[in-house]
Amino acid sequence: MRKKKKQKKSLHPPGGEVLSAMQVPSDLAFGEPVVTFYGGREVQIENYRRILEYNACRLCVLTQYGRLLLVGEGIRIVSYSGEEMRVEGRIDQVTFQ
Amino acid sequence: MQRGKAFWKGSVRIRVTGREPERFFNLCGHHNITLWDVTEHKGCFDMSLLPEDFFRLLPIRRKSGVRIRIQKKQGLPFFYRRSLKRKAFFIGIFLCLAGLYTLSQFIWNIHVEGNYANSTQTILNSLDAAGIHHGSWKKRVDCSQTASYLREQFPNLTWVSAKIEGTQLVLAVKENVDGYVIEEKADDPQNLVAKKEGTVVRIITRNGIPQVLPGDTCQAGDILVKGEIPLVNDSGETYDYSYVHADADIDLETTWYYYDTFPLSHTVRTYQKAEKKTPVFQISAYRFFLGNLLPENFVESLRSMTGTADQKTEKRENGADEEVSLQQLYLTENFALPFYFGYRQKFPFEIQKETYSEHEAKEKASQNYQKFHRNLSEKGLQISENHVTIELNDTSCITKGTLRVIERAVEAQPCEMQKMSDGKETMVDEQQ
Repeated sequence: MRKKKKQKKSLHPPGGEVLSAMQVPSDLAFGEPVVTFYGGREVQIENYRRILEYNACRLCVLTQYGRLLLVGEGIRIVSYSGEEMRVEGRIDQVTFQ
Repeated sequence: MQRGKAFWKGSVRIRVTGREPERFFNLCGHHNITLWDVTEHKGCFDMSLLPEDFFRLLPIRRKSGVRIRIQKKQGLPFFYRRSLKRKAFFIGIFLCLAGLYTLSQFIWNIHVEGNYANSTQTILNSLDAAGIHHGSWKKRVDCSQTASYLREQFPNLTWVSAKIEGTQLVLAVKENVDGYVIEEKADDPQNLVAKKEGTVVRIITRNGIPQVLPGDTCQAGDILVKGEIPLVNDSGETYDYSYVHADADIDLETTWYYYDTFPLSHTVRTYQKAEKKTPVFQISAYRFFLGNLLPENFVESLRSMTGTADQKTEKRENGADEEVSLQQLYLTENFALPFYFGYRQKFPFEIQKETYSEHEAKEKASQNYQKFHRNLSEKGLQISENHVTIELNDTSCITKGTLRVIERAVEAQPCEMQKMSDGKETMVDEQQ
């Protein structure tokens, strides 16, 4: 009797192992969002699709792999373009949904 | 970078209100419209964007259903449009830039470094004679020529470097640290002669033939040591002369006459409390007192206009000493302007006439003589005998007499050279 092997769920999309083995950066290979923090006062977000919600306390951004939610106070978008966004303010919480 | 771009291209601050502001942001991102400084306040979103992007907002506004209001326009294009009426302002800016450019074409400071024996002012005066001064046109200043000119003018400068940095002429010099070398021809034939009449006290000859002995008297101009040495053959005849640089230490005892007189009646100043300092301003040789503008002072000011521009002057004036201290204004390190400022202070005094008593007069005469004695000692002279007496008459005190002083009253004199030819002696004066 042949035992069924339990298949592990891959972190990458199909064909991702190959690109990962070639050491292609994830943001280029899979369009993953890049979130860069400068302390707790400034965040740079790249590879996002659109803004879902924005006010002084919350900023919700849609990425290819879900939503990115920033919660804080006095959130201000320093610069905003199709490619990247810089956000300033007191960031209390970051959630990937 | 964003700020610089916003300044040059201008920026528009807008306020967006409506139901779907997020859609407005996303459409902006989709149309490559860059927004910055986005803030939210009570459902209103303020943001900045370029004027060229503002005109692309119409379809976005229609799709997202938001209202847009312009809050502020800023940056150079808007400033320029606003300032078109202010022609004098732009002319002023242009003139300022032109003035800056023009002024940068001249030398405004001459910096001299490395000079010790030659003062900076001496070097500046020398350069001034060559036409290089503060305010010279930079293109007319040739650094290499300036350096060679300075080397010619100041022989003790061993190295000179000149360079122009901005509006500054920097002169770096190196001087001969040994100082000036006086070329002495020590081998020149010479005699030592007496400068004054006196008695020889001591003579130590190192070179030459001494003509006197201690105790001998001599007149001014007498040869004391001869630089001419006769060469004698076996039969005792002089066949030639050898000439040397006569050298000796000779002390002569000479007679000095001392005479000093002063009147017995004299004036004594009693100073009172000094007056307050008065500000002084001077332009070139014209001096103005800014203390008060009373007519008396004004007349005094006019009279002082002809005064010279001394740094510190003290003069006697109607029972008051006046001290004027002035400082000159400098535009740069060495660029002096003809403006001076400082203060004037008066020290009033009362003059009283007094007469010296016999004791006081003798003491003052003695002090005068002691001062004279100290001066002689500082010069290395010794007083061997003193025949000075103090006499008092009704009006004055007279100190007079003779002194016997031991001094080196000797000077060198080129000696006449004799040439031996055909058994005859001919005199040849070497002096030309």
